[in-house]
Amino acid sequence: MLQASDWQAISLTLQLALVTTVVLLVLATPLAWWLAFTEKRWRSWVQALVAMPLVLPPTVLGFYLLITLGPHGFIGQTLEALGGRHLAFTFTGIVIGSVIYSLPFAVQPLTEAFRQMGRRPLQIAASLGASKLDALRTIALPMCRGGFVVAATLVFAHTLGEFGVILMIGGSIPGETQVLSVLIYDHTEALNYTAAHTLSLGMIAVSLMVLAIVYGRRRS
Amino acid sequence: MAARRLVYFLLFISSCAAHAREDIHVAVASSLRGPFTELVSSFAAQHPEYRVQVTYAATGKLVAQVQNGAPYHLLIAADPHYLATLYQRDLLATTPEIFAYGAIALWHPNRTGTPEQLLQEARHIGIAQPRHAPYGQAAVRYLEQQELLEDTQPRFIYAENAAQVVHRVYAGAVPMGFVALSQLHELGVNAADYSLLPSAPLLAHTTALTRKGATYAGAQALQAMLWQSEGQQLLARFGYQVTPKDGESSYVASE
Repeated sequence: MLQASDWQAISLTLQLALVTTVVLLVLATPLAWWLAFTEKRWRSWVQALVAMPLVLPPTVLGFYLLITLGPHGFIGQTLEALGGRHLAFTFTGIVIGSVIYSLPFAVQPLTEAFRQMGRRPLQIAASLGASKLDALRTIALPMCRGGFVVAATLVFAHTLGEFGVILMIGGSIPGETQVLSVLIYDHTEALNYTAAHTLSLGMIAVSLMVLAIVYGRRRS
Repeated sequence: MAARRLVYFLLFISSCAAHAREDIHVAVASSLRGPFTELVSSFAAQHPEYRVQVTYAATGKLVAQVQNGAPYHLLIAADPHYLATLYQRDLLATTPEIFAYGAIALWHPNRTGTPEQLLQEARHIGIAQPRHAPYGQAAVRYLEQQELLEDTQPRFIYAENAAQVVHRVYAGAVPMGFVALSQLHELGVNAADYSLLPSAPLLAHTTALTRKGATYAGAQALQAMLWQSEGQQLLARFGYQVTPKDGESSYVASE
């Protein structure tokens, strides 16, 4: 039913979603922490910047990423000058795109979780002589576990369904940037409706499952 | 520990994509999907050491991707001008060469009449975006010749490429559209459901190796198949006018 190229896209999509989730949790945690507790006046501007991918068309993000990461762009040229390769039409390129595109889905639930916990537990930990790292590991992480799970599942699911940014920056190169959503688009263009149906139904089932897990957790 | 098991499972699936064979990355005009799919499976049977990874899109889009550093080894275009531009910009390793000529057709399922009548009556007309799709450009030139462009243009439904026009007519989203004759052959469309447009220009289909594919034996072998009797017969079966190698490659130079 599914061909080798379909499995290749499924595997690539899962890799992309996994890498994006890990990278985003690492990047979003300190950012969300800062947003939750800072009293700086420009906090709202940083918050707005983080939320931008929610309202910007994916084409805008994809367009600027292609321009900066490609061989004529600032980052792409710098990489080439250092003996590397530019990042347009590469897996690394679509990871960068996905991280930016899903940033609000990681930062917002984490900020919320940190705020709900408040400063109090950490102050108590500090008064009992716990270092900052200790307090983070033994107090904050367990208390905000729900927030981390929600952030991770939302980022994972959102990356599975990503289309516009990836198509702009990655094209549709099998095995490198042709993820499921792009392959489904390709199948419809080829009038390959059976394959398009199979993959689409699979996506619907997985997305529904992931979201049900998130909402199930929220209630408990 | 369900989460850990899930991660292991995902890693397992991810590792299933073995990279044992060498990849040949090919960018192909979307209208060529039918014959090229067959060509690739025949190539794969003869050269099991390679894996052909094909990207189908409008020729103009593929060329824009190459200008932005897309890693293709071999390019196959539905038009001579785009590859000529790449060649002038020093992005190709070989001069673009013609391997076939493609014809445009008007697909009008369950409608009869001359193309001119049908176009005048149609509520919507599917057309590939002329800004980057050669078949869209050929359609515009045809309509200009027939002095129908001004009348029909407001009723255009633009698609990204010729394959998307086929998809929309096939799905019934537009009543008719300008497509490649090869696509109608691929679908086995009844001759009563489409009209050839003899006054429309033929599109010279060209191919070239990129700088990245210049010394890649796999890409060279795949490209050579386009001119071999098997490839040429295949293209002819899909309605292309074929041309022996070096037959008219001066066409590209004169453009």
